Amino acid sequence: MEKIFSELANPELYKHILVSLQNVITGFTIAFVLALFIALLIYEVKFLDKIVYPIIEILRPIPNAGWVPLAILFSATIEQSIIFITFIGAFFPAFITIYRALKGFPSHYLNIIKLNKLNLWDKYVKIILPAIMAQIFTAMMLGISGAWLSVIMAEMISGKAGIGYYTWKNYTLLNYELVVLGVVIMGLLGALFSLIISLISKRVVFWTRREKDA
Amino acid sequence: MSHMKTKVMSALLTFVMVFVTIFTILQTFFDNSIKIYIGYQSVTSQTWTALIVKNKNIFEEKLKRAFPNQKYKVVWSDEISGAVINTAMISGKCHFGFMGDMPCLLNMNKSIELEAFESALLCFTGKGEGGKNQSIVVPKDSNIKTVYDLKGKKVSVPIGSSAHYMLLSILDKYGITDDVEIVHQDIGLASQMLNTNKSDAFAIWAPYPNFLEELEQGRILVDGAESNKDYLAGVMVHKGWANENKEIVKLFIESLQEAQQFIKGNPNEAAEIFSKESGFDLKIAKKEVYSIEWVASTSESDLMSLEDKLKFLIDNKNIKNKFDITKFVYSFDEEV
Repeated sequence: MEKIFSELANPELYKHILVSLQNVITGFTIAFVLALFIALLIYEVKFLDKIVYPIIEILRPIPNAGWVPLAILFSATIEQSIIFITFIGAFFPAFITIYRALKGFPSHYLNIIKLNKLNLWDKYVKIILPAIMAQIFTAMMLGISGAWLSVIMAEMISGKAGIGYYTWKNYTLLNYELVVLGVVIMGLLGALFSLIISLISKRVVFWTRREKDA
Repeated sequence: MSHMKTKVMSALLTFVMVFVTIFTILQTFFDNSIKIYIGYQSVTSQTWTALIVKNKNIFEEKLKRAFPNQKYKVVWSDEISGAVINTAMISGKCHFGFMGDMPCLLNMNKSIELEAFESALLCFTGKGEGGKNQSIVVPKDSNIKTVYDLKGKKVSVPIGSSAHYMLLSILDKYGITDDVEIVHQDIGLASQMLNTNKSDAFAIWAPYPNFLEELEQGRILVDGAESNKDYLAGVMVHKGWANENKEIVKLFIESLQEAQQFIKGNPNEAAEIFSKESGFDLKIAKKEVYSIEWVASTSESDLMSLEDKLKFLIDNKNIKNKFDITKFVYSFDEEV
């Protein structure tokens, strides 16, 4: 415990945390925006669904470690490789959640949309997106968890910074107390992000709250 | 699909899952053999004595002859680094661990830090005299021609390894340590970084320098001879287990000695086994047979050469306090 407490006073630790925050936020944001866009696109354009969805299903089970060589190969810089791995961690859970929510969208609502001859903007912004907003927040929570899950693998590439790198380095040097510290920090940061999304979600999709919470 | 078909498919799937789970559990329950776990590294050629012992079943045969009424099962685990073997050993899941000198020292240090874990150095198994078997490799067509050219460049190296020590020794010698960006990466990652020009150089141990040259992906810029230090690999043993199984430990040391005699007496055959077990090309394996000094002992001079590395780990704050390395040499005379 003594080692952990003295490490908490080490400014280097906080630099690692900041680097990871930057990596996770960037990877997650790109992943979430793209997941939402692709899910909506293949929902709207049915033939794309038959092409894109099977490809995503093939790519989805590939573990993060499997993406590392490809990330290095196809990215121009190390930083891009790191963002790519956190992106992969966040993209698939976010996409599947939004995709499933859209697939489960009630057909009678679609009939109403058709009858009222709503344009594309109104169809999505006024009807579909608000209707699946709760699942979109779930997608965000799963996505951010996925990004944190992949951060060790991603930051092993960096070889110099990030809480994932810090944890891996201490594992190599058998500093198990600091490995535990790194893991706990990642867990706490992941939980903090989930909490923030959950609080926003409660305000935005207030109708999903149970009576006693309201 | 009809309702009936769905039911049959679901029942079949459930059956398969339950069967696999029960089979796996029963398999562990009904295995009455005593298991001996050995961690080795096919990625580190100085530890390749393990490959001969494994391939020729030397240890297993000795166990069979010595204990005809007891079934022993030797479980060999090929790991990517000494850290993985050390973690398994500390948690009691590995009895013998082949590793480089740096992980040996980290293992000893852990033995001091943790009350529940005690380890010992059984013997050294491979030696790179005067810096052999360590190199700084640059991409084949790199403009880097001398160590000075590494100024302002990025060099990959596995952290806390003998190659890390070699790299810093050489950079210090040329007075450019502060001008070089050192990134800590595992072998596979660092090799790919070099290959894709995302790092400028890679400090690594054998057989990788020869391997990268053979693939025409790298060129040896300088070898560890510049540092003029010996680099060793040895076998650490879980001392608590070893003290209760002294006969087995003796048989294991005999197995190492027999394997080394085999390497010295049959270099071509040994190279073939190295190649088969490690996956490296036969040409590379042959080079390693001759460049490594095969030892199965703990000489005083070898122990002394660990002192420098211990100092390096202390300077880098990887180990807190100095300790007496000689106290970690396994002795059969100790009381159980």
